[in-house]
Order: sequence, then structure tokens, then C-alpha cells
Amino acid sequence: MRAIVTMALKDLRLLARDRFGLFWVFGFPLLLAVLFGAMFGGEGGRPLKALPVALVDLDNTKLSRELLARLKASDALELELLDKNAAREAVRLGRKAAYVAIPNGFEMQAGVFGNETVVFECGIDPSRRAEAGLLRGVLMEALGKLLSEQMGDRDKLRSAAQGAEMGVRFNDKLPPEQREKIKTFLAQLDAFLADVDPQVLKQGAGTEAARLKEEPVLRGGSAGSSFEITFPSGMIWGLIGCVATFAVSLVRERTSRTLQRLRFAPVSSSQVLAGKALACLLAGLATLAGLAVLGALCFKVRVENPGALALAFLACGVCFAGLMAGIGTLGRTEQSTAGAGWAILMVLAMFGGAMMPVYFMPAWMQAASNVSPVRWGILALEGALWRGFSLQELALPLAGLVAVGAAGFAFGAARLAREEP
Amino acid sequence: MILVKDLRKSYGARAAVAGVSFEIKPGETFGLLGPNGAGKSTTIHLLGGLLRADSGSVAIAGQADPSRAEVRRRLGLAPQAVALYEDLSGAENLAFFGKLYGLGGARLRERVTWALEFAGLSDRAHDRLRTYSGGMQRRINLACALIHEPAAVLLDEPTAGVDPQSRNHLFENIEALKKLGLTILYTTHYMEEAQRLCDRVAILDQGKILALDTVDGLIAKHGGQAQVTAELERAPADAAALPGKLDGLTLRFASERPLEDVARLAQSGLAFRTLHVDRPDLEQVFLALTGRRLRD
Repeated sequence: MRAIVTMALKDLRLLARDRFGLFWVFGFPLLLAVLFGAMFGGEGGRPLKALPVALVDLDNTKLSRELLARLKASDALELELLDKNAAREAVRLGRKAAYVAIPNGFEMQAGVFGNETVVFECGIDPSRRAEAGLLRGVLMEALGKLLSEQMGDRDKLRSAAQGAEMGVRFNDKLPPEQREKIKTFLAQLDAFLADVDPQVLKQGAGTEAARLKEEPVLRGGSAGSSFEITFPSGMIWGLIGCVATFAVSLVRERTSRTLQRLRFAPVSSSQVLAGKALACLLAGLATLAGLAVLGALCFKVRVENPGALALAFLACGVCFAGLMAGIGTLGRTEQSTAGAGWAILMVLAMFGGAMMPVYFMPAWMQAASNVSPVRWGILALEGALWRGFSLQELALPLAGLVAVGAAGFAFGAARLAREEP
Repeated sequence: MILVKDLRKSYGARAAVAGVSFEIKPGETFGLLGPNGAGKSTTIHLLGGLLRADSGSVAIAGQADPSRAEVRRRLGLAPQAVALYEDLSGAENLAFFGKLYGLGGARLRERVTWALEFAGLSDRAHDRLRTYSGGMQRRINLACALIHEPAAVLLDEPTAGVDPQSRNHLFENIEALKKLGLTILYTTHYMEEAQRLCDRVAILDQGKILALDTVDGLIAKHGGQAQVTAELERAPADAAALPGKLDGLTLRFASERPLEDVARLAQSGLAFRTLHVDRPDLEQVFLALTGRRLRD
């Protein structure tokens, strides 16, 4: 054990003297966590940048102008009224994410007694398809409010009912007895609207049909800053930086012949690898602890369960130290190991959700992400930081992480033992 | 101290070491002399247990299997390349390797001080290795092999690529080790080094030992005659009676006993303006044994 600690301390001393290496281990992950945190809304959950949308009003009626006013009032959209050609061109050039055309006849179709489905033409920038859902939501919300308002306005409702009565009277497609029934209903409605107190009608119909009340599901309390979501990913990137740094340093031992000298000393090849893995683990733990402290002090990242967090740190550290031991024995030159290392780590990070949230991925990728230790690491760190995981809930990801670490180390030790200088 | 019997190591069809046997006595400096690719480094790696032999045996101080920790503690290795950490200082490198061999506390400090003095680098002890000259790095490379006081040290071409001044410094270091009674295995392709430093030399070529003896013994057996080149004062009266070949006033001849032959010619009345005797050396030995020069 003394030899392993001696070799680990030597590696940490060498790392401390390598400023560039230090940046990848400590600086880069912090930068990522802060950048992504700021991108997702920062501490106060600030709104994202409004979606730039062009609106084409082909109807140009009172109702279409009211819809336009409603959409303009939304924080989620940055609206500009254009003609159709200009709108299409703006989307093609990437200046607008989409255009929405209010169809000709909108007022007739979309009224309370409208008889056709309104079809909005929507042109989307193919690179921003993910935002189409947001646009659809804002449009439907504005339409809903518009119709709700119509229902609460006696005069508008009477005018719509009278318009509908006219439409029914001249609709030859309706069977005569049905036409009479509808006309009777519309006449009674008109009589009712003529008598009813406008304020009562407004109170009754102006109420929103439904509203979504969002609440973060946490064991004890409300959601914190967006940095809580991004710091676990930043921590994983810190560990990835450690793996890349120490895997290359293992190969450098070979190319600078110090590995030959170490193997000539009374230590086994497994001990040499264990020394490197211990250094990687200690550097990784220092990175994780540093990010946790910085996150808590400067970015309002909560630590729900410090004990569980310590366990998560240890399991993540063991996992990535083991991966380092495996990756470090893959190549015989610094270039080949660095290339192979980053390729493996990037794939693990990509599938594991350290580059983009897992829910953005297609279904097959989401399924594949379940085998990435990066995903387990993020889950364990989130669980200990803010999801309020119990030890029982943490057990599975922690066990998976330790198992991957052990497998990586065993693979590396077997390769190093077989290797001749 | 070191006993090697019929050691063999092949890489595919190429035999790097093809049945090498020798014994190094305690306190002896034993040279392995051969050109690049002769199998010198492979033999050292087999001795230190860094490579597994295909067949044959190695025993260090009576103990087989040099990959065992207790055997390795008795050996030191100065590899051909400087195998140290450039971003650690000389003292830190020495302390690191000392700790790997189990040294600690006052004993470690004492050995580090000794090693720095031995290498003549006490004043540069805390400078990073990357700031050392090539010769200084070679000396600390050698000192690291000695930090744990091994009984035998394997020096793999310790002067390769070193300037003449640093080479002399290293020779003095190795001669100091000889005086300390250390057993030394010294590989080189410089015959001058083997002649100066080694008690016995094995001539190695293509993985085989071609001859093994003291330097004088090798020269006597395989070196051939000394070459005498003399410039005469005047043309001799009877040129046909002279040994060798006369070219103008320059006489060249080979001789087993050059001084006796020169004295006899002087007594016969031959007057010499200059006289040069080339004694045979290991280069001639290698040439005689292989038909090639050492640096071919």
C-alpha cells in the first residue's frame, strides 16, 4: 500500500505542476457547469430568449387582430407582422424560427359558433423543430383565451349567435327539422342574452377553463437554481477530465521509460496501475468537492444529504478511476490513448446525458443511456444533491458505478501484466 | 552474484537472445560489448525480470526468478534512456524511487544526500530535471539506480549520446562504484569503455556470445598482431631483409612482439625518424570474430 500511495502522491505532485492539465481537471468542469446553468435560466429561473416568429394575417379581421394582440403579449414570442413571402424568407434565412399564417376566413371559422376547423399554416426552420411545441402551446393558449373572452361578452356573443342563425337559415345541407331546432335554440339564446346582466355573463364565462399549476417534485421543498441541474453534469466532466489526464500520464510513463523503471522496482504492475488509479480518484474527489463547495457558496446549489453525497462522490470517483485504468492501457502512444480515451468518454457522456438532457434524445438513445455510467453518476449526484434520494434509492446507481470501476481496473491490470517493455 | 544459463528470447522468428550463458562474480565489472541490436538490452531486461525468457535461467545471489520483489531489491537498473520525471527535481526523483524500494525517514534523506553527492548535483538538488543538461540527467539516472544500495547494478549503455566531458564524469562515477565493491553489468557498443572499465567482457552479436574473457585475454586470443608504422631517416641498404612492406621511407609490418622487433631493427643500423605501434584492441577482436566493425 505504501508503494501505491507513494506513486499516487508523485502523480498528484506532477499534476499540480501541470497548469494545462489542472485546467482540464478543475477549470473546465466549473466553466461547463456555470455556462450550462446560465443557459438553462440561472439562479432565478430567468426566462429563455423569446422565440422569434413572423405572423402573417391573411384574414385581417377584428378577431385576427385580437389574436395578434394576444400573441404579442406573450413573453415566449418575439412577434413581427410580415406578408407571407417575407415571412417564409425570414425563416429560410434563419432570422425567424417559424411563421404562422392566420387563414383567410378565420373570424368566421373560429367564432363561438364557427362551423369549420381553423387551420393555421406554420412554417418551421428545420433546425428548430424542438421549439414547434412551444409555439403550438402559445398559439392554442391565445386562441382559447380569445374564445373565452367572446363567451363572456354579451354583445359579441349575440352578434355571433345572430351570424350563426343566418348561416343556419341558408344551410341547405341541414335537414329541415334540424335546421328549425337550431334556429329555435339560437333565438332562445338571443332572448337570453338580451336579458342577462352582462357582468354576470362575464363572470361566468370569463373564467379560464383550466390552468396548469407546476410544482417541483422534491422530497423536502421547492426547486432551487438551474445550476443544481447543471452542476452534476459539470462534476462528471471534471471526472472525465481526470480520466483523460491520468490515462495519458500512464502512457507517458511508458514512452518516457519510467514505467520500465517502475516495473524493475519491487512493485507489481497492478500496484503501478493502482497508484495511478488512486491519484485519479483523489484528484477526482478534490474536483467534486471543490465544485460542490463552489456550487453551494456561489450558485445556490443545495446539498440535501451530505452523507449520501460523499458516497456518490466516492462511487463516481471509483468508477472513473477504473475507467482510467482501462483506457490508459489501450494505446501505446499518448496520441492514440488520448484519441481513444476522448472517443470513449464522449460517447459515454453523450449517451449518459452529460452533453444534453436525456429527454431530448430519441427513444432508442434514451434506452441506450441506461447502460452509460455517466447517467448513473448524474443520477447519484442529483439524488444526493437535490432529489433527496434515500440510501436505498442510491444503492443501485452506486453499485453500478463501483462495478464499472472494478471492471475497468481489472481490464487494465490484465493488459499491463501481459505487456512487455 | 549473477548466473545466467542458456538464456533464450525470440520475437517471432527473430532470436534476440540465443543461448547466452555467463557468470558475474561479486565485485566484478562485467561488460557486454556488441553493436546495436546484438541483444544487450534484451539480456538486461531478462536479468531484471522485465521480460520472460523463452528458456534458460537467471539467478541473482543464488535466487531464481528475478521478478520477485526480494530479488529486485538487490538489483539496480540505469536504463539506456533517462527514465525519470522531468517535472520533479533531482532530489524528488531520488526520494520517490528510494521510497519504492522501502526507504524512509532519516535513512532516505541520508541516501538522497549521498546520491546527489555521487552525481555531483548537490547544488542542483531542488531544480527540476528538465533544467538539467544531458550529462547531468545521465548522472542522476545512474544515481537513481543506486539509491537503495543494491548489491548489483545493471548499466544499459549509460554513456549513449553523452558529450566527452560528461562521459568522463560518468567513467569516474563507475570507477568509484568499482572501488565500493559493487557488482556491475555494463553494456556498451564503445570498445574503449569496455577496455577501460570492465574486468571481463563478453562479445555479443546476433544474440550469441562469441567470446568471453578478460580484455587482455580476448585481445591475445583474437586481436591478432600489433601494427608497426615507422618513418625511416634514409633508405635502407637491403630493403629485402626488412619485415613487412616498405613504401618510400615508410615501413609497415605486423608483429607479435613489436618492441623487440623494433629494437632488433635499430641494432641492425636502421634509423627511425618516427615510430608508431598500434596495439590490437577489442575492435580488432570484434572484426576477427564477426568480419564486421562494431559500429557497422
